[in-house]
Amino acid sequence: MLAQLLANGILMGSVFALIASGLAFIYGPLNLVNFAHGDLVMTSMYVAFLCADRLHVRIWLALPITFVIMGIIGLLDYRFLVRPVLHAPRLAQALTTHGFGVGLQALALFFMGPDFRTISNVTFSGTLSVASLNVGVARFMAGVAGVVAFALLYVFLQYSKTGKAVQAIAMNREAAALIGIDLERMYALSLVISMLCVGVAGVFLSQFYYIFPVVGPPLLSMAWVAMVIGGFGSMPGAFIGGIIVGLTQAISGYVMNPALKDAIMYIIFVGLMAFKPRGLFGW
Amino acid sequence: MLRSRGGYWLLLLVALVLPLVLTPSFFRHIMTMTLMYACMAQAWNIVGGYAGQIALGNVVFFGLGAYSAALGFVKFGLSPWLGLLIGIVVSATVAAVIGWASFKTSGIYFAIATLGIGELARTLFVSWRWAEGSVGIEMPILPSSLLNFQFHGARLPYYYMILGLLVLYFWIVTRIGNSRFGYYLRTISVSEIAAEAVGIDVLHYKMVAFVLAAVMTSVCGTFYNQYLLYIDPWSVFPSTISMMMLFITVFGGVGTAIGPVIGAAILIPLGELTRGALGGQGKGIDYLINSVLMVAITILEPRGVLQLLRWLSGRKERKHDQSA
Repeated sequence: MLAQLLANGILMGSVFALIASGLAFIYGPLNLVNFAHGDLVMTSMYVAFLCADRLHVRIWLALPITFVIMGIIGLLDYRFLVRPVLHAPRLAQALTTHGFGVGLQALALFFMGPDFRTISNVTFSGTLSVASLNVGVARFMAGVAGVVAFALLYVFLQYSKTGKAVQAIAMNREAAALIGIDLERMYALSLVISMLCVGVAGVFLSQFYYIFPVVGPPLLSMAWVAMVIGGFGSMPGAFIGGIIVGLTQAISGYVMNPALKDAIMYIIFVGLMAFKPRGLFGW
Repeated sequence: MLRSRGGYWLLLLVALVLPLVLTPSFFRHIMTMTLMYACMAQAWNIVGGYAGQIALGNVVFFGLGAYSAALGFVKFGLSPWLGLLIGIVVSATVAAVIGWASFKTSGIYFAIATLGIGELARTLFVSWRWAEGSVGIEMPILPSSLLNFQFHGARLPYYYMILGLLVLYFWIVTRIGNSRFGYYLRTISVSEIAAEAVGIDVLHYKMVAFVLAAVMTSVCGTFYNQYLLYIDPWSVFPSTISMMMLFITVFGGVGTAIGPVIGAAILIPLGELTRGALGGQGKGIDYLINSVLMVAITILEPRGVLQLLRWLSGRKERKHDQSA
């Protein structure tokens, strides 16, 4: 039983981790709190839903389509909503990004209605059985996707010139500008990469998660908690934080009233804040 | 500030007379809600506008105030007025704990911690069997009286009570703005390091502002319980109410006394009327309008509608270093 819980927790945690990494990609380089992040995941879930439902494509085609759409949304978001408030007080950033999130929810509500949706012709179905563990194929693939996406991100950050530039900006914006890094382009790139994370997470989530207009905010909260656990500014930290969140949810859901799963997360969160705000790997 | 003190008295006169002129209960309901939101926004203004701390979960104090009154009456037979006091004590304690835990770190932690607390409260109350969970609490109907804190029929006393509360809150915020406490808060909001350097006890003043806001919000929660006579976790703990407090204040003019009033006076009726006109089709038009306004006011005029009003009335504004 414990092994089953751990498996579920890690797989779901991998998805949270991916979402949290997307959030970290914006908080690190841009120093921006993106309150629309959860709603962007919701948007990519709907895009994936429409790909499956209207275009009847499999996930392998839905993924690039979602990437393109989310990338465009990211660029527009950056140009019109994020750039004006990059150097504004936190309050302005919070309100703008939150406004964008609410707008996305409103559009989802308007075009898709409030009903919970699921994809009927999923690419992944059935259950995997390994040893005594049973795992839904969709969840398994989501977990794998999370790890693969994160690995690619990590390689990008550590070993490519652009990736190192992004890290440089996250560490010290002025110094990065001084040595000739084009901040504008890096900001836009960071946002687009964040959107790609969101896209992957959304597409794979749509295979097994309910899709509805307000699925975003709880995901955002989980992503925040994951980031804080891992430590602000650290990409691997965000990932580990996500795994921890997933594990905690799985275990607490079993040990106590499942409705209190989220409550445990928040309690841990507030406790961390009081005693170890730097998290595991944060600066 | 408005052009003269007289402007404020005129507003008060209008507010006193309005429900006698607009008699349909739908309008009176909108007006009462507008005043209540203005009170909560005013409370938020103290910690978010003057002290510059982004509190995203103030709805938790609203809900605690509501539930204290409801549970106190339904489970223990306590008068709602006693429930009011209990709500104040509980909210102040929660605020103190959260503040202590997160004010020593940078502002972003506080923002997320308060966001988490709001969500935590809702989750807890949904699954708390003794507090009736999702089913909510229905207050027994008692004869109209101030002692019972219930009024039926025209329900006008509710309106005047909340108006009185708003006048009190407005006075509090104005006094804070002109006091040493207010200067300390504004210094903290501009630069905590500078504030510490000149000897201001930053942690202490942030705590005071936050606890004060919590108490003020809690009173509104108790009022809401007595006004609607039914509460449940989804109606008194949603994060949308927290963001509304923020939005109303910034929209009207953050860090000013009249800002939250202006913001509420525009946004609440707008929301209610839009929802009413475009019907229960559930199409989220009012959310869309809110979202557009949020983005527009932040990007175009972060100092809020108050600034637009000043511009319209031709006053040249002294350049403050920042106001948002």
